[in-house]
Amino acid sequence: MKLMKAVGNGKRGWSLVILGVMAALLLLPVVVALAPATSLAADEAPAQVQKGKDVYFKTEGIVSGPPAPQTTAKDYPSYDLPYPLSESRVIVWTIAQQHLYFGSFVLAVPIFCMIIELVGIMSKDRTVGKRYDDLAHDFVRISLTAYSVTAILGGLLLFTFITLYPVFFTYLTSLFKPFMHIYALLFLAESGTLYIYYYGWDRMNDGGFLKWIHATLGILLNVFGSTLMMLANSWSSFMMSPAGVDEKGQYLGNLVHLLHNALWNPLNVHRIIGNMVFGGGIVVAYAAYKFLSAKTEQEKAYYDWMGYIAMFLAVASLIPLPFAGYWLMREVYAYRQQMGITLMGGLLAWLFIIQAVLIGALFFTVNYYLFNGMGRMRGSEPYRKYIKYILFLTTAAFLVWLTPHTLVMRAAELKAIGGQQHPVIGNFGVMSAKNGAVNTMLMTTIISFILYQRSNKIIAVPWAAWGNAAMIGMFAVALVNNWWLAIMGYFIPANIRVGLSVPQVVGTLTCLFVGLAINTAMMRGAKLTGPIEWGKISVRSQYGLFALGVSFTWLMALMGYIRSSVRLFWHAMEVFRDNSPWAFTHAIGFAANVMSFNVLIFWIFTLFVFWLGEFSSHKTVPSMVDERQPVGLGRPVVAGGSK
Amino acid sequence: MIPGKVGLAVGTVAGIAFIRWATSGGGTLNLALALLLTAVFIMWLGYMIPPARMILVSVGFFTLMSGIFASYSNWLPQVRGEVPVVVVEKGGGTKPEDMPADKLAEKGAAIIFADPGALEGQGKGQCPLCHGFKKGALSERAPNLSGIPQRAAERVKDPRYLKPDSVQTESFSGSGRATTAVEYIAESHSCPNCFIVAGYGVKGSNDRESPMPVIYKPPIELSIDELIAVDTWLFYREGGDVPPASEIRAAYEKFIPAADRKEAPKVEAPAAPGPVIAMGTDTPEDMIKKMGCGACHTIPTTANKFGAIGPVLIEKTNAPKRISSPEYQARVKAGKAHATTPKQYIIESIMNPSAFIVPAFVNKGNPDVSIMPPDFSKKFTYEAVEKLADFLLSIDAAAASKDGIKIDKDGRKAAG
Repeated sequence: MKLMKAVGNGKRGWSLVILGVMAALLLLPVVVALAPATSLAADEAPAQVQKGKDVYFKTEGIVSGPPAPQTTAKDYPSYDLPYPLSESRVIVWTIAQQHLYFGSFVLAVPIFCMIIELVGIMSKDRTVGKRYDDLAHDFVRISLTAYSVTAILGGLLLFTFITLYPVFFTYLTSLFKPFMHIYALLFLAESGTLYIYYYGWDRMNDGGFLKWIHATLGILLNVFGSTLMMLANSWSSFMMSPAGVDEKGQYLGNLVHLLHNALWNPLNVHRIIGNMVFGGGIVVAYAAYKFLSAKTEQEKAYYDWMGYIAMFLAVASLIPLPFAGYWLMREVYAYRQQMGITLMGGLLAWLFIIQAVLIGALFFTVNYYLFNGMGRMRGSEPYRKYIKYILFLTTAAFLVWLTPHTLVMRAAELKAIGGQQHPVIGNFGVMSAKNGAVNTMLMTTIISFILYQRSNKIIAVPWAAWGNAAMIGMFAVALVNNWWLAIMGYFIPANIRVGLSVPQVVGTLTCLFVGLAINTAMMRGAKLTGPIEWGKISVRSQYGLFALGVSFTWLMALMGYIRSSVRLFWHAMEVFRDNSPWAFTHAIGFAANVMSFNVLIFWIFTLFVFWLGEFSSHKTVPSMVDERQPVGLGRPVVAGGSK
Repeated sequence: MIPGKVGLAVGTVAGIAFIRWATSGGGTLNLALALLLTAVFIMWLGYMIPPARMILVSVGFFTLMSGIFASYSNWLPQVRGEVPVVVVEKGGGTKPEDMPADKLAEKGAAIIFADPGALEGQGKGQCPLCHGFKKGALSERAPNLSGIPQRAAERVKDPRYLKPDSVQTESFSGSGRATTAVEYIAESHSCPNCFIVAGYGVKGSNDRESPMPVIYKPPIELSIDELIAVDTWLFYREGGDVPPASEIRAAYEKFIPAADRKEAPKVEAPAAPGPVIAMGTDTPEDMIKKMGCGACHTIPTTANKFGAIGPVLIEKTNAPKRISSPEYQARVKAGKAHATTPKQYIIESIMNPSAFIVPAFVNKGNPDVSIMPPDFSKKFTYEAVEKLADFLLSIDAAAASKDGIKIDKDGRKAAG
């Protein structure tokens, strides 16, 4: 009936037209990528055919572009500002970082919205469904302001490149110009979709066909966003691992080669997942901010719930992130072993120690939040005694995790030791031990979550004892296997040791998926010892959520810096040398201060966006009484006791 | 308990004072530590101003976390990655053939390890990134090069070497294979794929492909002269006979096509040099030399005793006086000068010479612009200018008179 009405109103037709246009735009990059390369490079085809060999694909191609410029210091203008702003690189760094932060935010939030909206649509309980729908709508509202900021920062970044790195930027545009136009068109398509998605939210919320069209727009929005990001990734990954050009940096007429360089796909996957984690971090901080400034119990309850959901999504995205990172690093090693060693055991190795500390901080914070969350559930007391053991294991694993294998040394030390690997420290911190440690931290966090799920329930299934035994057995085997392999790694050659990560990860993933599945099944028909008292969580837990947000942001700044600085003194690795006065790599202290500055600027901007969001929001928050959570985001709980 | 408003005032003054001290005096670590105090201050401010409490406390907390991460990072060993500089032996571009073996080996060691005491992790060759060099040292990424001359001599007779199955068997078509230890090492540098030591191949290649880059190509790009120095060191440090440079050169010419041979003098030629930058690792004397300060200034305790265009640099004596002078204070009021400590004054004078010009040195035709070059802000790193300022602050009038330098009332070097 509703469908008929929609058809009658012409809404369906319009929706389909819009979808069709969007889909056609979506096909643009494919058309361009598959188009004969010569047609795009026709204007640059030299009269005399000169051939070159692709530095990565090793194929021959017709030289279709100028060689990479041999720059001198004069090619790098700078502003007459006090140090460090006289260093153009710092200006680009800051603006690029802000653009990336906001870009990630506006790419990640629609992913959450899409998931939450779909959860809401599929929820059998309409009250709960409505609450999820409102939550998703709230998220888009926040991202709308951030979207404008992203575009402004993108423009600023473009001008900065044109004015401060003109020669470099000219070279990059000479290679990527078709993709840059597609990028701009996609941006337009994404903007259009976002506006329809946001402003059409209420009008398309008919609970039927139009709602599904709306959800499809959400998916389309993410497709546009991800494609945009992948195009931009091709520029930065080209700088790390050039392809499609010869040794002199001359374009060889193959756009696919240019795009599909060695690190493009690993970077795409890593960034999509990373964005989700980052977006979760922002929403988590938003929820915490709103919780802390809430005036009523109802608001507190709602934002407490929002914080939990966002934290859950962020952590769920965080779990596959190390594996994506591992793939990226493996590809880096495969591309240039030197580059990998510079990252993990050379100049940038200390930055990975900082990364280890940050990841440790994330695990501690998540566990801390879950421990605090247990406090709002009556009946959690029997599980709290396990917290100290979880904490002990996490701490022990953390200490192993941050122990370096290779130290960055001064030349005199290096000469005295006779190699990069320290005779004592070099025996510790091998990758299998670190993998053992990080898998242990993952498993303790999974255990924390399982205890959290059980906190206000008494298990009622008849096979509870078997279920518990199976879970204990599975975790015990996974942990013992993990530690055994971690120790074994010390006694076998490095090339065999690399393979140990697979069984370690398999154990952890088994615990994650099978463990949570068994636990969820065991919660069926469980007797409730009390409701989840949303809003009754401690204030300090909300600061934990803030810490989670800042740690994600700082981590992103750090990893971005590592990715970029691994090029050392090259604009494009081995084909285009950086001859600016700032070609050196800063010491980590300086870099860390710039990162902290960037993180602060971003959060101040973000708080401003949150504050702006409050102007347009006069809706009362949904009530959390008698709430039900769908499977996967926490178990159903009925306020006031058992059903 | 401190009453709110008094506490706020004290906190404000103390916070600002600390931040000023931290940012002016002590490099990046203090800057990071200043973030922590700023955080506490902002949060406290939030506590004192209820309407803005949540926003201030949030900003304060974010600052606190950022400050913790920045402070931790600054506490770790600080290593800067320099752009590799080509090592040229003192005395200019002497050919390896004309150098004694010990000097050539010394140059080779510098290419491998960089100059001892410098903050680079390794030299231009980047060899220790993968190779071990001491007997028994851990070296799991690439073979340990201790004893390589002897092993190289044995390896060229090894059946696996004589019947190669690697992805590449000749450096270039017609180059042939190594027959001596010297050639084997040269071939390893020029064509790492020509032979891969068992267990050190690219993963999955079954030791048919090497992860080592071709050393004469980017990113390392050692010239043949530099490679000769490196190889000489490999032989020299073993204590045995060192092959003559001409023999090593012939080996490299066997494996590197003529079109790819880099000429060592290229790096010594003045063409397109990068800008001269004073680094934190330079000594103050090095910086003074690099920047040519002595052309205009006399600097007691150093060799620069003839500059008479600018003031004599006895900053321990002069800088405090200059800051408190009415002329300087007038520039402060005008918003042109900003120093409040002698060290800040020196840094300001270097980085922005026109902020304040010592009265006797004002250019009559253009009184607002110093004749000192304005671009030093682009030639000093933060660490370097701090180091130079500290050095200049250690020189007083007594040091000048000890050096026999006479100074007139304007601060200029007096004749005689």
